[in-house]
Amino acid sequence: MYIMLPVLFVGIGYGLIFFGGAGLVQMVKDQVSLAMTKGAPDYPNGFDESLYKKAVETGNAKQWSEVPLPSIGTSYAVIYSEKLQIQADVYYGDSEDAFSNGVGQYTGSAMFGCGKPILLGGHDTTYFAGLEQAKSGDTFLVRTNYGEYTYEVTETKVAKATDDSAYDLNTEEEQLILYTCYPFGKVSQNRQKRFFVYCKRIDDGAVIKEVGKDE
Amino acid sequence: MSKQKKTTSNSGHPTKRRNNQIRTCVSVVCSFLLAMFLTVLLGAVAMRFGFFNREMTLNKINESDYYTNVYQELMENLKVIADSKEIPETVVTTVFTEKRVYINGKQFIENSLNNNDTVVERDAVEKELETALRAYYKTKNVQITNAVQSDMDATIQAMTSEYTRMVRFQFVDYIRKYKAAYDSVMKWLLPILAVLSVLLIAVLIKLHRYPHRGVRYIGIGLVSAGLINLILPLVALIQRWYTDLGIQPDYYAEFLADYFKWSLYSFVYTGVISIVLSIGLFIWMRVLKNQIK
Repeated sequence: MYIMLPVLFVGIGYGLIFFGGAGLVQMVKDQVSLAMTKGAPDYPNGFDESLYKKAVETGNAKQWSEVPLPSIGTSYAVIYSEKLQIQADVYYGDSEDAFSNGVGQYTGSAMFGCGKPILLGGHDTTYFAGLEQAKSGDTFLVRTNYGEYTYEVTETKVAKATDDSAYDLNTEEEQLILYTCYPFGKVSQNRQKRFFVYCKRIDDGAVIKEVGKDE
Repeated sequence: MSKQKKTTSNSGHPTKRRNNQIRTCVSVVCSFLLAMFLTVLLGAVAMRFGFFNREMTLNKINESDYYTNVYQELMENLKVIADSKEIPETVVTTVFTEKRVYINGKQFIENSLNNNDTVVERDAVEKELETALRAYYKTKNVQITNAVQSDMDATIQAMTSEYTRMVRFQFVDYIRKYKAAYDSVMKWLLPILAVLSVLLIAVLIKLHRYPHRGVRYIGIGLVSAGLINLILPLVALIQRWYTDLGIQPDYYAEFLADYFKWSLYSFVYTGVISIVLSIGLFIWMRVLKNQIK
């Protein structure tokens, strides 16, 4: 009795926990996994399809001040153009790592939806290969965790890589500026020119507040 | 004087046997229920001293050198921003010191665990950074035009936001949230389970003619509860399940491993204490039994 009953009770106890309470156990495991993943210091807001869908469905994109800036090197959005066959993860920061895995956003430019210019760069041999065919009237769709934004090409231009007048990041108008190396497809590492594609925002979504202070 | 006829009949025997069987069944059921209630009570205590232990969490963060590593990662990220603006590293290191990161980080964690506001200072950092940048531009004879000011503002925003993001330890926020849920459930569940356990103990004592028999079932319930709390955490500790979490960065994984390890130990300790108490009960049961003889 002193052995049989405790063994029986322990067996039934674990049976109740893992079989009878399987749903609860799974919920606890999921929550622990979530806390570990999202609690990590370099997990700000990578592009999350479920967050994007929720933002679009509710028609209630988060205010900018509620969304922390992505960490350098995080992919927080995706840019699409069906016509130009472009689909690339957008990384915050324009390092070589970002260009290897998608397109990189200059951190000195604004975030999508903030009513200011956004500067994205990518390699002409990979993710921005389709940019060569860009013409006025072509559209780009950008999906972020906090909403969806549409842009239309207004102009394209070739300029020197060091030409500061090629773009203006200080305007109060939301302009998506895409750039890639020029001439296209050349193997040379010392291409001095860039091909710029200028797009204006055409969706009727709200202008999201600029990066704000913590609340 | 005539002998009195023996009035005790054999017909009481099956009745007595049936009553004993019923008493045994009821005792086993009560002992099982007591084991389950005590399992939850012991588990709740283990959670309180393990997963939701504020001091332990802070100690594990310190032991993993968490903020030293955060500072190193922060400086790497800030250097990327600084390089893109041709700003020297000295400007950045003047403002973002390891001491600042540690103090603000510790404040954030303590405020989070104490359910206070968890605001990371931005104003002071922004002001200091602007002062440092202006001083640097002055040494380079750069005039602060509108364009330069705008660029400086963007740099300050990017760096300050990166700083506040790294200083916030989001995992602690999740601990705080779960502890709040745990507290809201335990504040009514624990008293109910405690009362029910006391009732079951009283039933077990009263059910038997000799108290040591009731104590036996109480001891069985207690040792079962101890074993349930002990076995699985002990297996997890021996197999080191907490080391293979597949989490990055390494310093965060190290903190999590220590945190989970200590939390598992708290379950082991409560299990062991419960088993020791049950051994004490069994010894007492022997004493009571000997007293009858």
